[in-house]
Amino acid sequence: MPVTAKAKRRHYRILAWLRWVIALSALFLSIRVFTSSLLQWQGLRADYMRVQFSGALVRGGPLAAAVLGWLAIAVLFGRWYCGFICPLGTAQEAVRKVSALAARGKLKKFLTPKFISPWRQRYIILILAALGLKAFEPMAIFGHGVRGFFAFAAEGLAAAAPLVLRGAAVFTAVLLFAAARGRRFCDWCPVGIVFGLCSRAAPFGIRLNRDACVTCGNCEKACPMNCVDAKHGRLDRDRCVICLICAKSCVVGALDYGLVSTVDVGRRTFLRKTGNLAAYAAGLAYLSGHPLRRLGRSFLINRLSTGSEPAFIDRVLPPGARNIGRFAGHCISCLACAAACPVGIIQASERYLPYLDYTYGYCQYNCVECGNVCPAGAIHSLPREEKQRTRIALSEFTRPNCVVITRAQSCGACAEVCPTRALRMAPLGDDSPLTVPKFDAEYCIGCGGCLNVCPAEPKAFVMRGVSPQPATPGMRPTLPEESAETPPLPSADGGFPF
Amino acid sequence: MERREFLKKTLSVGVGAGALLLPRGLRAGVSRAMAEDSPPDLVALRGSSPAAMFDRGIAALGGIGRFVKSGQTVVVKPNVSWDVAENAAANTSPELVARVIKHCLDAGAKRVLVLDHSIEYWERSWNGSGIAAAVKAVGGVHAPAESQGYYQKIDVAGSTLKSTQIHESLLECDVLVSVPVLKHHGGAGVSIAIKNLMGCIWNRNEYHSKGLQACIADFLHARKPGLNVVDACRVITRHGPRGGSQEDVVTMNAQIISPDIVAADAASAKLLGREPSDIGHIRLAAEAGFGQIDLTKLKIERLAV
Repeated sequence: MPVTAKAKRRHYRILAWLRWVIALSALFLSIRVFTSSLLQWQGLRADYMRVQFSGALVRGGPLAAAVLGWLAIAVLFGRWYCGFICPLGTAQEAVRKVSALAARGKLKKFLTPKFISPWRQRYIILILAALGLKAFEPMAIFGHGVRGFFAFAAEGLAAAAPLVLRGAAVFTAVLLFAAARGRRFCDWCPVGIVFGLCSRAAPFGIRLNRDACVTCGNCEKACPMNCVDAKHGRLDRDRCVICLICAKSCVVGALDYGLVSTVDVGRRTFLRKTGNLAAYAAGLAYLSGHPLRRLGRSFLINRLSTGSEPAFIDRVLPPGARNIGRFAGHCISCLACAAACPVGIIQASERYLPYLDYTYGYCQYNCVECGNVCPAGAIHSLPREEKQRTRIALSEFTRPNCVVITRAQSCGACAEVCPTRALRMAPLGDDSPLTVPKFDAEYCIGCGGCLNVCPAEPKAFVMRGVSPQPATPGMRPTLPEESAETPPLPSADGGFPF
Repeated sequence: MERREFLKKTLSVGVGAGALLLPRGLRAGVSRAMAEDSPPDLVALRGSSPAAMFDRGIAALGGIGRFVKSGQTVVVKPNVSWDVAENAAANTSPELVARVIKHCLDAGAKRVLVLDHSIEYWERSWNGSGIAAAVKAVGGVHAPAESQGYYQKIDVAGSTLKSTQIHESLLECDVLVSVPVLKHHGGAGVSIAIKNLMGCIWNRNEYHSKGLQACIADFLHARKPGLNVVDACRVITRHGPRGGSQEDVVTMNAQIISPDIVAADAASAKLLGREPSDIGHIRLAAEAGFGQIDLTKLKIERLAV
């Protein structure tokens, strides 16, 4: 361990730099994860999303190990998750770094934050999040924000959907706060608060040697969490994310990371450090939020059909969502499914529940990427064969709208893309060379292909979401009349018919 | 120049020019009469693997060098529409695509681009069909086609299709080779070489709303392939073009090769038991003079490999 102040400073400069490299890599990876739809990213995307806290918390099962692992690290060593992995935290920190470097004069003074003591009332966030409020989930803000940003950049203000703009706006607000006051959202983040509660009494943490401290305030200005109070020699260890920037900035080497001495902990400090019972109760509520979310959705996200008989709902849910009540309870709104969807048809909704929009594409028959990537298990990871027999919506064919009828011309675009042959082209009439779609609803899985490709105006198809998502018999078998319609092959035996 | 020689030359130029004025079918007859050992108009093959049949067929046509010259850029247009396995027969055989590319490269082509605007998600279709790997292995270049930015709007002198957005590679290439797979098509009747070119445009929906058959034929005004190689090894006879069930796939082990796109389509349609003139886009393309629909007027070489 370095002893002189200078050696210590150099030591922590290297460590802080290393941590910054790791955190920035995680941030860049997250941005890529949320913007690329290329198939070679799918495996990495799924693995990356699985180690994130909120998704693993909801999903449970084997991923409970990830949750317990992160919590154990917090209990013993502090909020390493927040400092190293969380992309929203690193994004805020990066913005603050830039603003601190760019600002001059009075602005610089304004942008140099002091110690901030956050509101105790913020613990209510944990209760709300446990009840299913998704707006404060860090991955929801990051995912909606990044996707919103890129969609906005690609399409411009006029074309961007209002919900895309909402995502971008919330993210921008978080980053604007960050420009002025560092990682301010982290104080309101349910994941951050839970880690804070866990790490309040952690044996390892940042130590401040008051005898060596000259109260210069360097650390206070540098801390991205604003959790160092240099004047009073105080350090909010429940908010510290171990960025090591304070130790790096200290000219006398009074700050370092190590085993915290517990000798001077009086009764009062102990109470402050361990917090009050209400905060812990809120934390527990969030951690056990899974059943609470189910209860909460009926208050917060009402009007959901949760019966066991398939009923029509106003949105089409991703294949594997099973039923909307369950989906609403599990989804953390990170939009990883939207990023993973190769055709980009999964969209954000006003209730923070992703849904399928068939305007620019349709659900690919062989594709199960959204279920594979979903970190919360809100979209089941269905085997391909099961997905191909799962009805997510039901199509309805309006024959009078079809171009074969209205304009007496060949089409067949719908039957062409129908993967289960629920649609087929049957002869229009005895003396017409045209064929017209014939729809057998029993085999429709609601992929939206027919609706998407239909050239008619208005469309000859309507697609209505179904919850719960029932099983279908699969591919429609060939009918006897289809064999009759198929001309015999003159050339199956080996010669040429010409 | 001698007087005699002058007369001879003038006469032969005159006969040549006169032949050019004759209708296309007669012209073929005249040229056939003039040179009995000229290469056939169409080669039909049966009985072997796609690559072996192409080797044999293109040799019978006089070699790929007739169509692809050294230093030229070639666009090969297979059918890579669907994310289905090779044996589903909804996409062109990767073996054949690779073979065509190899012949082009061997003939000295500067660059062989492989183009298709897939119907299902492009990456899944190209990987799932095995065509991406086959193209890469043989040295072809997969031309990206999944975003509108790769397409340019051009005017088309068609009766129904007045303009469309075609892939930029078609504007730059010297030779286009259509390498379709023969299959039934619920809307267009059959999908062969002419229909295959629908994968060169951005907005397929436009065809369906304006008139599918007419637009498919009209595309030939924009760009006509120099060579057509129809893969008819495994053929979807029902529920095309996606298929999906092996009971609809018939193993035919055939291949049709011709520089005449209408003739290639006509011969292939007959393999499927359809009368070429019953298929709207083949009839329209023939009426617009893009090729010979009447197979009796062509010199056809039938080969069993």
